[in-house]
Amino acid sequence: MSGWSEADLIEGCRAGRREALDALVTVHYDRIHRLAYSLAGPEAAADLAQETFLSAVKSFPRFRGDAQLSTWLVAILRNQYSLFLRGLRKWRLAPIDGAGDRLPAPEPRPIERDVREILDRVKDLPEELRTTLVLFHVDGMSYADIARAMECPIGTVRSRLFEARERLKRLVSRADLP
Amino acid sequence: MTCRDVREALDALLDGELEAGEELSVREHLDWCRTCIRDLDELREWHGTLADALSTEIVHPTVIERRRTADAVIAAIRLRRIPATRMAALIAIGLSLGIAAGAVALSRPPREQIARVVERIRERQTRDAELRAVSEEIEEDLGEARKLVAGRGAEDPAASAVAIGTLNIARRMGSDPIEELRKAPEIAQVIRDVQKRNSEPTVFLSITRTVDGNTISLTQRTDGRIRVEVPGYGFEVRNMEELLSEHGDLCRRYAIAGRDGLLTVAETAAQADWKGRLPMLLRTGAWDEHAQWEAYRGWAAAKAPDPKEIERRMALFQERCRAAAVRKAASAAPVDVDAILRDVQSLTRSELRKTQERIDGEMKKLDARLKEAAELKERARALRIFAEDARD
Repeated sequence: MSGWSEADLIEGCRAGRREALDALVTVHYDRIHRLAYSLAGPEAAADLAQETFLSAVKSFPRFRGDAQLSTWLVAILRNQYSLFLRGLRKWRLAPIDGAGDRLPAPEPRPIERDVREILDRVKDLPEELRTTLVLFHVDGMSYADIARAMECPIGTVRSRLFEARERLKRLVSRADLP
Repeated sequence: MTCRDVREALDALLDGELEAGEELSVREHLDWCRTCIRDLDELREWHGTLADALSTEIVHPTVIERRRTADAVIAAIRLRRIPATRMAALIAIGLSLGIAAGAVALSRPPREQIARVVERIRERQTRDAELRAVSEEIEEDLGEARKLVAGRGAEDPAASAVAIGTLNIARRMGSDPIEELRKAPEIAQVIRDVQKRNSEPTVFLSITRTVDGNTISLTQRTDGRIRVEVPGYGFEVRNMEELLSEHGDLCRRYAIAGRDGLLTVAETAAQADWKGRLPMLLRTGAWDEHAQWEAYRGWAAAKAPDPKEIERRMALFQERCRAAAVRKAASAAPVDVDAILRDVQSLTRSELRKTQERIDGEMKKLDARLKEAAELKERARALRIFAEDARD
């Protein structure tokens, strides 16, 4: 793991130090990528993760430090995901030497039909319900952290989770009907 | 509480997110309501299915994807490209977990969350071990330095530096018991000698200058406090650092600069010699790089008064201290990750979260202590080098 403390990392990123920016990506990339994958699917995950970090770097001067850096990044991911869904953003990739234009999406692992059914239905949920569900079940964030990341009251997180699970259950049961 | 209210609260109960009061009411209801108990069982099963399904799609971003993002981030602020970096195998740890099934009454924590906590605990244990290793190195250097100058008393610059430096470094390290150290013969002798000369805080440094027709006077006492007198008023600060940071305008106006033991006003300096600084260092507990250099200079001057020879010795000493500072600390013992996994796997979601919060808090303190220990290690090593030079 990186030897940076959170305060040093934030200070370094604000100052635009390349070691700090490098460490920011090293420490947080896998988590953001995983959430991006769960939200947007394999095709868009890498792009969404990259846009999240780019937006974070531009927003560092406005980062007040009243939430943890990881929670703040999730909030940015959520904004980027909303933009992605609305199609308001043209996704651009920063090229690197020898990497080609795009990286192929990883081959999905074979998974059981029931599980696939649930995953497909999760994608049918409205954005705020789906994001809440993913942040809770995939990332293990607390209600309070989700509330900070999604800028809503804790009670809203609770009701969204309840609603998401209920709807999903109905969607899956309906699909099971002959 | 009605069944409808309870039904809405069951989700949060399984998530470990109900407030204590509400949880009590829900559990009281569950004590007698079979319908809600059945609902709870079904819901628990559904939560488990959902958690399993959502954590099925574990993906590993490739190194090249991560690198592409790092490069894009650097490019975005117009800096040079950075090399590819390595990433801790956090997700790999997650995959290696066979999540403890069934035994947990509330919802299971996601693998990622477990992996994060395992990684944080591993990190904390590594830092703990690093801190212990650094502390041992400091103790060894200070012990060696004390042996080398034992029995010389406060008149000897090396002996006084080792005694006061050791005491002050040990205080900052939180070494216990500090009183035992004060009683060690070579330290007690220096303390006695210094206190004999200055039992109460006294002024040991003063300077008065007139700037643009205004007279300013600065005096520093052996407890570090500085008294400032300017036309119309006067005030006191704890030390030079406070004077410079809290009274910046005044300092700029009168060109006040320097540090404890060296006061400068309008480019005129008043400096205490090594012996004059001793009571202040003993009282304030400070032991920085300047104290270390001043002590050595005092010893070098006593050895050979020729200024060129003093500077030559100083340069050699500083070079040796710098070389010692870049030496890496002894590597700490490896951490048993399997043992951590066994402990973490038995935790519920809310226990896991609390554990993570607790460890995050501890890590902040540990980081601060490690940073301080790294600085003190340099001071301790310099004292040992000093004592070796002053052996003959």
